[in-house]
Amino acid sequence: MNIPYSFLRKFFFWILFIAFIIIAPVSVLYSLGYKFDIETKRFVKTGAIYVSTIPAGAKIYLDGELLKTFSPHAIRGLLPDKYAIVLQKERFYPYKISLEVKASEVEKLDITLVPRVEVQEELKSDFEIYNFFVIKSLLAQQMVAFTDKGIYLIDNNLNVKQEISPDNFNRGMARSLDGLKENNGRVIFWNTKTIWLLDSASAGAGKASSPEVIYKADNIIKDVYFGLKDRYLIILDGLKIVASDISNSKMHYIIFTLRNRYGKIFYDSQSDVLYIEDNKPDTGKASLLKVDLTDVIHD
Amino acid sequence: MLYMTDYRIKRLFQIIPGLISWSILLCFFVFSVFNPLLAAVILIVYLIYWFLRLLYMNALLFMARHRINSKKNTDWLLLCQSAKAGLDFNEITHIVLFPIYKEPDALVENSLKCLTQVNYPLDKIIVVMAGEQRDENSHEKLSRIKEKFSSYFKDIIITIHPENIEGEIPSKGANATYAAKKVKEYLDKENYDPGKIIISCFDADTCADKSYFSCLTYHFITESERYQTSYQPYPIYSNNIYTAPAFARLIEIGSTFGELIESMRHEKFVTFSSHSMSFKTLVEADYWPVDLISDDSLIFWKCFLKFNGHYETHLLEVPLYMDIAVGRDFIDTVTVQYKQKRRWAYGIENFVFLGLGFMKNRNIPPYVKFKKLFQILDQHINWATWAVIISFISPFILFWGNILMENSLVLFNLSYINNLVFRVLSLILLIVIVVSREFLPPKPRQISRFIYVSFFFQWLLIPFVSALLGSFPALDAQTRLMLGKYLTFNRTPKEGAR
Repeated sequence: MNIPYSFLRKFFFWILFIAFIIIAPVSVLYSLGYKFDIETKRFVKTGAIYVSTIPAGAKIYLDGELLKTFSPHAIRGLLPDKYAIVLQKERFYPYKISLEVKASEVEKLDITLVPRVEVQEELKSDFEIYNFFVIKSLLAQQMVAFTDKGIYLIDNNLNVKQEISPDNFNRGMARSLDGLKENNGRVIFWNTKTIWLLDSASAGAGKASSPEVIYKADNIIKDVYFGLKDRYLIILDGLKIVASDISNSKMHYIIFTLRNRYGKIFYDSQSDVLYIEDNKPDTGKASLLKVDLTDVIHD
Repeated sequence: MLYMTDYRIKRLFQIIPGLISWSILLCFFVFSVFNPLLAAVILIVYLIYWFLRLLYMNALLFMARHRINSKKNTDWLLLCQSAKAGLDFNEITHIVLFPIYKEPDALVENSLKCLTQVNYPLDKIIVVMAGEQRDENSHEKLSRIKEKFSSYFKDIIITIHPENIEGEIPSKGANATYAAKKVKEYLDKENYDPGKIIISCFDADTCADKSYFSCLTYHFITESERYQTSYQPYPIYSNNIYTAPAFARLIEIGSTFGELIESMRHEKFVTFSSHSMSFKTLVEADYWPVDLISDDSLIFWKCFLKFNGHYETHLLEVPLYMDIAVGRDFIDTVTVQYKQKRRWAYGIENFVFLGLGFMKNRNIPPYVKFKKLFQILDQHINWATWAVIISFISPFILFWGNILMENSLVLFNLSYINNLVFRVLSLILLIVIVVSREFLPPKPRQISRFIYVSFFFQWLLIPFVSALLGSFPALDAQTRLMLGKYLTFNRTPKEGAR
């Protein structure tokens, strides 16, 4: 069979040429937001709303009317006006917002939906939890829970993994804990009188471990930091700022004494700089001081 | 010596293509920076244009494929023998001319070996091996090869093109013309009728299909305008396809497809690379150009001018098999491919040649002149710009526009149209990938079957290859012509892995 290639070629050419003549201007007008309004029989300029949600697949209501598509979706051909958008997805709270659409513009709506809490898992033990902290060891992220029965390591699935209570543990100790910090596999936790150190890497690896006392306060422990290349604890004990050697709990240095008993400290471990909120010696007014522990003292 | 006005006109023709290409790119860039909305609107029209154009080209590709496949099992020799045509098949003699310059012996021998296996009487084939004086030991090398193959053909003629002939540049065209003139002396001496001689100018690595000469002869003897027609087979770069790097394969498959697409547009179809024509016509057109690079396409235009626009190229439904240009290693292959594509893109010098020729020709209607010049410009400017616009300018418009006008509906829709167009084109690409399998030769045993995975994924390289080895070489060629930094002929090394 002889195929008339010449005819076919001309046929395709003219079809596609006519398609270009039609599609190109229509696409340009469409892209600029023009829409032919049947009622007024005129071209009107419209805008758009682009809706995307996390997670995707939310139902979209525009002024109360359910659209046939789900998020992410671009709603085009909207006359300049205010529109009420409601996003709904099963197991998530609905999201409501009012948006103003302008001609030739697209309003972008990027929403994270809030999930409804329907199922909660519980700790697979009957402890009474006083406090808990999350620590990251080399092996995994886990929780340290201070309970009525002791201090325990708990994994992400709320399974109790290991008890790490110190020898003299009591309920009062667990309830009185003020804070916990972690640094390079070492965890310190403290109350107003005592600071304990726990090697979380060993604990996480399942080895037998028990927190040890590394500092006992003279007054009241208000804040604790790892400092001086993470070899010391910088402790605000009453009015004194003490540097305590982690590896040798008997070595303490009083590096500063506050004038104001309500003073606070912040320690920047990256640069070993201590910031102190305290009263100025000459005026007595509260001020901010900076102590560069690896350099000179600044005011 | 050119008169000053002739020189200025020539320079004008040389400047126009590069000027247009750079103007398009610079305008796009300037609009992108200062008026992204306008640039976005222009880009939307451009994307739609290219989308529809690619659909059209794919339609042509499928038509060409159908045309070739419908003739696949044709016994061309039988058709030749039984044809009731103006010329008798037995009267036809073939000259097969191989310009050779520094190609390894094995490559040339392989091409001649392919020639011995064609389904055509070999005593009707005269082989011409055209060496170059600047290639040391050329004569000894060609004589050794001649000795191996002399018993197969009617004759093997060796010519050695002298160097430094005034008015010539060192090029394949100059070598081929010198050889053809020597062949003319030989034919005159042997009393051959040039009207019954078909000359095929092959690259040194060209392997003719078994049916090539019978198909060519059939078309020649049955064509009423045989002396105003060139005969162009479609090239398949498959000799070393299983060992060439993926990006090089991709480009050459693209070249094959390009030739097939052009063959369906007979008014745009010109000779390219290895081709055939009547020897009588070649003589009348004064042979291939000796001072220009693109001898393969320029011979067509010389004939076009000679016959006042009544000259065409017809597709032969059989292929020629050639090598993919490769280098010593990956980087060298990139360089080799770049230079080859730049040389092909230097075919823009056709625009200059034709423009000057049209000015002196009073017999071709003006609309034909305008149409031909426009077609050449259109082809080359698109070649130089489309990948740069799609791969670089389009993302820049989106990026920059979103910084300046985050809420612009035009830019938002441009992104949407961009994605839509590319998704549809990806589907078309899948079909093209399947079609490309048809051009693969049988896999050598020593090559693992996993090569086919590489053949599939090579198409992901299109965005990088189309700019780096498509538009950039074309821009380079046009810019050189525009600035008067003319390209010299660079031999494409073909001694890569086989």
